[in-house]
Amino acid sequence: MKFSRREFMKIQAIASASVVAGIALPASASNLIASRDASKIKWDKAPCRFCGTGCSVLVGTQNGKVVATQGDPESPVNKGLNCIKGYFLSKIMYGEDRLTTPLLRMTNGVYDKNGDFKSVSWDTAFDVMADKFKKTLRDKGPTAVGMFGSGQWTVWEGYAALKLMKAGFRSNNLDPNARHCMASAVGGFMRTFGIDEPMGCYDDLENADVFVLWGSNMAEMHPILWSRLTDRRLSHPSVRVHVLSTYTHRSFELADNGMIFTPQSDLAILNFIANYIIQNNGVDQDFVKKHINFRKGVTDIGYGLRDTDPLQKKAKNPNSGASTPMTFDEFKKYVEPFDVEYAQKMSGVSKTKLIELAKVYADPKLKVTSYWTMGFNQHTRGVWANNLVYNIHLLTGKISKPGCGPFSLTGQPSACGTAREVGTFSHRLPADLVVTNPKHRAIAEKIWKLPEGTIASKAGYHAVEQSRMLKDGKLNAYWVMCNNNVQAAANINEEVVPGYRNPDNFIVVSDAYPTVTAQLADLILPTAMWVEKEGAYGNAERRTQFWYQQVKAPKGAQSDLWQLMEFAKRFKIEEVWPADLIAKMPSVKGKSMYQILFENGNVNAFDLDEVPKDKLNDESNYFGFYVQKGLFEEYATFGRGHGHDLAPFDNYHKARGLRWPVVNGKETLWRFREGSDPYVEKGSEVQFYGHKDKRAIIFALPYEPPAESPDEEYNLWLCTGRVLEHWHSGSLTRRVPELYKAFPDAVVFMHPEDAKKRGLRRGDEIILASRRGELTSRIETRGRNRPPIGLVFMPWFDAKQLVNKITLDATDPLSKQTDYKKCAVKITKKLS
Amino acid sequence: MLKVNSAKRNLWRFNKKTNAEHLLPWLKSADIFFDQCTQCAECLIVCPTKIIVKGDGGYPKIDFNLGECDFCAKCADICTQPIFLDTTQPAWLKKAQISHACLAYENIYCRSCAESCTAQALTFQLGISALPTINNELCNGCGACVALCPTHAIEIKE
Repeated sequence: MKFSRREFMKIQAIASASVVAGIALPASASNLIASRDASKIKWDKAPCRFCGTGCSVLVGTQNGKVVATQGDPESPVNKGLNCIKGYFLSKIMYGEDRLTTPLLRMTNGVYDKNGDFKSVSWDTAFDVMADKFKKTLRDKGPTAVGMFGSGQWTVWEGYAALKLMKAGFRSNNLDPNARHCMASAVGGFMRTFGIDEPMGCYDDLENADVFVLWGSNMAEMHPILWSRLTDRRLSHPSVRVHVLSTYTHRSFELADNGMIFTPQSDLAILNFIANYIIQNNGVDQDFVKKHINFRKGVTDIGYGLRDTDPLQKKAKNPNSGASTPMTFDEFKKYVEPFDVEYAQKMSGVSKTKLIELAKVYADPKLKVTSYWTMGFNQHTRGVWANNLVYNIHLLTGKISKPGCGPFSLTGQPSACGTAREVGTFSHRLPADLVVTNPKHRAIAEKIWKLPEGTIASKAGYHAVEQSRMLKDGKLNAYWVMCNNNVQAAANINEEVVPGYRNPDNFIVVSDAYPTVTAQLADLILPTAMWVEKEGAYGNAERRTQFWYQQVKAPKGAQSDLWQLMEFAKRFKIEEVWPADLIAKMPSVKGKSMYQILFENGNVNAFDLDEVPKDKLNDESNYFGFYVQKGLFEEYATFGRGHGHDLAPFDNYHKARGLRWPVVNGKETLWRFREGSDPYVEKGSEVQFYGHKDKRAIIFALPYEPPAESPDEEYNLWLCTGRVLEHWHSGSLTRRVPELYKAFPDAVVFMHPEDAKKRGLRRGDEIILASRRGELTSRIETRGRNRPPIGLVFMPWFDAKQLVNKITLDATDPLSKQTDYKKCAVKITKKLS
Repeated sequence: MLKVNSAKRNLWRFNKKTNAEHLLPWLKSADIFFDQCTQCAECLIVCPTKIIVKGDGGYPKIDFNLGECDFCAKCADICTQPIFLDTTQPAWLKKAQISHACLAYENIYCRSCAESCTAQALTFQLGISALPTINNELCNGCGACVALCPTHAIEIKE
């Protein structure tokens, strides 16, 4: 930063004056403007850009900048409340190192993987990038091209990316960072119900008698929902809260029954509850008879490691999700060994506490809502854990009604809306369709007006596989957009960094800031964010929320949507599709990929004059039509009439979000229940219509051990996660001074006894090491997280302390989601 | 008439009163301290949490933005001047005070200071917006809650 002498004097004077007046300096700590300026601020709604709660905030803009945000009192989600991250939203866009020009690694003016980043024009950036993608397509075909996207993409960004990759490049190597976040929840929903996403909604918070948190620290990760839960608990004294975790955290302060269990033993506890329900006449026989099938799942399924890994080779049925039918009596027998003694032995939780928990599920009078986040999902048996919690809700019929249901909370603002509903996964298409099903591909090809056979029939590389394939040189042209995977993916020393620096590969990263990932790229594209573009997000309760563009992006930065569409112009269809495919639809001849994907009569169906006169819309003005509306309306045709109905585009700009399916203008609060869900036939009460026979499945699945456990040398469990003040990799929140001040650097939370054993005091510098890497951090023996002896917790927001050098890339073999909650580490004092 | 900006003028005058908020623990009195402290800065070096800094006029003072006082009494032990009390007594009467700049009063879920208090004097009344309270009986004025506050809403004073 440069200051003139005069400016410097001025700042000095202000600083001195404030000392005298007794005001602590950074008075910027308030995001609100003095009242006399308030009239000059323009306010408009937008969903918060952080977690999956989907709070609505009012965004105040003045002179082309966001100057303030406040909780939106009209929002049914947050009812005017806001968390500290949401309060400081206005500051995430104005970090000093915001990127405003494409940066290409160059030596002597030409691209060089080992060169230094040099500023180039967008034209040059796309020239070089298109060149690399074309060469890769020519030399190796579509499977060598890939993209890693995001649950923070807007709905239309995810949809445009899906079209670009799966139809344009004909590569299914598209996966979102949501793979690390809720793929196990998707796997669980699809397996049990045949349709994705929770059946209930946040209204359960005001209706339940009992809340059970299974591996969710809601108090920090979903603070607004926690406020609503707290209010319910305090205003209704009979309401009870049960909290399960592998360490004590802030949510325990409200716990009537807090349980610390041995990692992975949640599987045993869940099966014990199923057994307890059956043994104590808690089964809703009528419900089970009418609505449930029983199946026995295949076991010994491995740990989603490379096929060559000894642990993977040892598995009898690696990656198998197969199952065979069974009867209720067989299921009853199957769970019989999971008695309270067994559950106690496995989990370390007392029998009294376990029985207290089991009773609330078994008692037909109590309305129970179960919540979970990464504790279940980041789990080498994540899909199983999801299936097992559905089991106990299905046995008791405590599902799809106010206050009753299993509910997976999401971590990203549009993990549901974009990643899941649009289907930006390597095996998916919109509205739960999959690329491996020929009928589904045909539906997509018809909507997109493309020749039959455009979409490849084999699932692409999922997130973890993408990193492995980059390393192995099989994936060579790679676009990372709206995520920071080098700070997120596990085991980066062995499985991620080598792929980024593999000389055969060209890596593009689109981001607003120079993240760890961007710094490892070959080309960085400066990106517009949040209200610098018109957007839509879908939160955890199926609520789709829209916002208008409210400020212009810094000059030089472009939105992800603009980048995806503009890049498509660089390809003649002859350069990406084989002749026989083009021959099926001669009208595409000579056209650009952009024309085929985005000027197809659907996407460009709405004129510019539909954009409200007083609203900014940079992409639409650039491309010459209402881009967002066209993309959304084309996308919505996938789900309308098929249980995924979205309302007309314009309705969302007026509403504070609507929960799909939206049929005849009415949103759906509890799916699968007659009277609430329009898809349930009259007189049937409940229909799990995701499956053809409209029944849900209870799966018999056992306990299986984790991929890695502490041993003599690596004698501690490591669990990773977040803190309230920082969101994910911290690339936004760590640029907000107030949030940085509130939680500056990552620390390793440890039990005081464990610290003492190692000669450590609070604040000491330590080396945290696993078989895969090591880092330097500091010990914290107090504070918000209190691990039991034998376990440490470390947040991953800190780019200076990459805990993903330590974590293991073992995944759930069914969902391919990494287990970030369990690996073996050791801690020693750092010798200075 | 010439307007006098007294705040500005005071900037160049040494004012003991403005500093009294940041005095070291166990001092007999502010006057004795200002009269007899030699500004040798030994206490800055021995402080294990490094929260003693040179203040106005070169006198040592405590800056809670750097950390907390763990009442080890090393500053008093190292001092050769007769300015400290017997360190078995309470270090001071200072308490944490939370102003309305605290975000909780605006329905913001922050709680960054929540678990910093080892004396358990700082707690949050649970509710739809959890408000902080300080139990003055328990608060020892260690300052552990100060640095974390994003809005500088916590002060340690008598």
